[in-house]
Amino acid sequence: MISNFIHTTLVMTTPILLAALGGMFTDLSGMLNIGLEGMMLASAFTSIFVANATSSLLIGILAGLCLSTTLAAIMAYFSLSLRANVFVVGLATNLFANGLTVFLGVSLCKSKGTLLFLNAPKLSNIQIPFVKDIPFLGKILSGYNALDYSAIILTIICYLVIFHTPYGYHLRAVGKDPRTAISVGISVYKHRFLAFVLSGLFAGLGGVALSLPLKIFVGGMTNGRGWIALVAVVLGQGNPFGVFIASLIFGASSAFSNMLQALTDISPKLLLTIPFVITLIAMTVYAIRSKKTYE
Amino acid sequence: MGVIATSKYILEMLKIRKRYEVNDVLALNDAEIRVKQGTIHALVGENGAGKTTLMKILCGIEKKDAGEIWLNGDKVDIRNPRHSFSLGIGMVHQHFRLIDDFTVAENVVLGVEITRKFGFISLRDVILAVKRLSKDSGLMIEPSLKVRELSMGQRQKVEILKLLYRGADIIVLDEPTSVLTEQEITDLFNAVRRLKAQGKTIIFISHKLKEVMEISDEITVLRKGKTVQTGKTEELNEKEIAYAMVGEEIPLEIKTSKGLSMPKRAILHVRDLHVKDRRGLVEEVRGISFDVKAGEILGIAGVAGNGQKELVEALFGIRKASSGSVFIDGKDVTSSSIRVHRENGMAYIPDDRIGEGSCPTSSIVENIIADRYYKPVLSNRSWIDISAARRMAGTLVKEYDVRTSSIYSTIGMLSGGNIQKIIIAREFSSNPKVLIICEPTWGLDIRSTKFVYDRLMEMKINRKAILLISSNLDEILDLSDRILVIYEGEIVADFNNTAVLTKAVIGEYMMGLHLKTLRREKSTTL
Repeated sequence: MISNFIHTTLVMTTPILLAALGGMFTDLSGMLNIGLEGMMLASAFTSIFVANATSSLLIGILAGLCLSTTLAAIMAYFSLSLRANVFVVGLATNLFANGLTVFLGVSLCKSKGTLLFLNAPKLSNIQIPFVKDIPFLGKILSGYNALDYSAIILTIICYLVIFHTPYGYHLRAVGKDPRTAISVGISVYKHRFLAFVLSGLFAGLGGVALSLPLKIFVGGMTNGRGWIALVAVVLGQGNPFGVFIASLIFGASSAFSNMLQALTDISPKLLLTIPFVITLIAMTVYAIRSKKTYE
Repeated sequence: MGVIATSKYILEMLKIRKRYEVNDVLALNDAEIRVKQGTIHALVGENGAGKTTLMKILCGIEKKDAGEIWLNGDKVDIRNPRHSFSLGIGMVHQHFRLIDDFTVAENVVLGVEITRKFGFISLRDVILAVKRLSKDSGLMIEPSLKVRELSMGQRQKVEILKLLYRGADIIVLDEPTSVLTEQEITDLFNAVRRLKAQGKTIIFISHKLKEVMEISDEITVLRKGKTVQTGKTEELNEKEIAYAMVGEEIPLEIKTSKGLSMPKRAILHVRDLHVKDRRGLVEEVRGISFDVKAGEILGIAGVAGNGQKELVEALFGIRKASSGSVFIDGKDVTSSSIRVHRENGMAYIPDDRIGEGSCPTSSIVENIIADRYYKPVLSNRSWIDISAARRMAGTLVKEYDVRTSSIYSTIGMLSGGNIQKIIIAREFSSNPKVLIICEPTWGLDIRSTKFVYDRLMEMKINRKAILLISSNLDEILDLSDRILVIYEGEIVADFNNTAVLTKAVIGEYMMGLHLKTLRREKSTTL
């Protein structure tokens, strides 16, 4: 049962982690993109719809990423080139994506409720040979889909890129002190734009991880994960492993809430609030701690 | 190496001209500088003389309007900072450009990292490279420390290392001693001499004559954007340079009322005031005492950065004095809040109009009521009487001749002269007993300058006690009844402003030339 819980936790973590890694890039560049939720949602719908229509997982995923990245680029254009307030642009994106996916669902699939995409190919779980047969650990280490595995691998890649490549140095320099960055010839505009595009890609993957394994789309199915990812960004303090741990906490609280729904008679609505309560507690602890270090 | 200079100068900047569009100031007007390879060349001049602008043009940060730059005998057109870097020119700015959370090594290599396999940086390589550079140049510093943990002197070393790492041959230091302690200055000078011995060329921007005489081989003096003197340091003397810096020009025609009213009763008393810098290490104001009488303008002359800012902020309650006292009309206001100072009749016009004097994103009305919104004229405790505020702003805008399309315009949209008029309108209309006014006409055109002077004279006739702080000597001489000279946080001279007093005399005290004699005699009256 414990191995089951850990397994569910990791599955629940994937979309949050992917979106949070994307958000982290914009946070490091000094201009946090709060449109993660909207970009996830847009990609969640597009990927499953296209995968269903073309019977190709790859094309579906690429279509989802295309839309979320385009959204991110438009946001970057508005907030960097036209100097619109980045929070307003982010909020607008979230509202836009919510409306867009519902509208497309109605006009393309003639349904307002849960959309089933039965023709879409299955994103199968990968069983790692031999590892899967280890008792207890086999269940924890094996049997995830490609997106779950890639989220972990991407975390490590992000870490290497941010702390061990010139790009990572430049990005952090831009976020910490743009004037200094400019004075040594680093373009603030370029790095912030690229960070937005990356946030679009990662949040898009996060959206794919929501809809594709289930082969369904429901309006507003991100259900606050984009916002929770933002909290993970803040808690992670610019370190991909920090972001991973924060996402894991939220993944675990979702898994916990799921488990309680199956095992107890407590009102499911109440149980669904657990991740948000955890978020609130996490932010409070973080605020108290950073206040202490500040003093 | 390899390149043999066809000219004996490594750098020549000729007939450089620069006009700032924003406030229509001619910052550089045929400025020239010729620097020899392997020398320490001092670029001196008063504040606003154009020293930094000239060097920013060299570094590609500002664009010149006219003029030529020759480097190693070739004419160059410097396009941007990167281009300037590639030509071997680097500048240490007055405000350091370092990332606090990065280590010394990371800051040094930022932007020009060397990478190994797969584009990764090897932190060990970086630290080793910086360690070697630090040893070779004699700028000793531990590369793995975070910049946040370093003193100002150490940060400056990092900045110089940054330039050396990029292969700079010409190193510009902009007022490098202004943030350093005595010991750090000695270290810096040793480092600069070592760099010279290694064949680097150093351009040293300063307005402190003592330092310039000590460190430089050659000197170029700028005044109002023009090169007025240049030569070998050993062939010039301090008086000559001081005179060249300050100059003697035809004064602006102002109707002043020097000595018109006979001031008697002292309103502002300052006694043995000591103020430390923000870090609490260095004493910026070292035991200053003076009185300002009603109907008197007391001018404080001095080169910027000699404690004026700290003195004024301590007088107005923005900064805490470490000891000493300030009285307004007999009431002790030392270490009271700014509001207590204001309630007791002190008004303040800072040199920083946009940061301190006004809120650039607020409207004229809001800026005008900023110091009085809570007073009975404008408020019944919980509500601000908006229409009264509007009326007040409207009247003041008219009275002080502010050129604006509306009283709701945000301050930031206005010109410097109009911003200053609004600040003056607010401070003067608060009916103060004591008025502190800093660099009142800095950057203003002649018309606005005259306006400010006329209003100041009105205040004087209305028997206000006025403390005028300015680095513009003409202004001090034209307006003040008495003049104090501040140098390194102390009053080094006290003059009655009589016809025999000249700029040259004050200039010498400002440069600290008579420091020793004065410290012995405490004060001299002319």
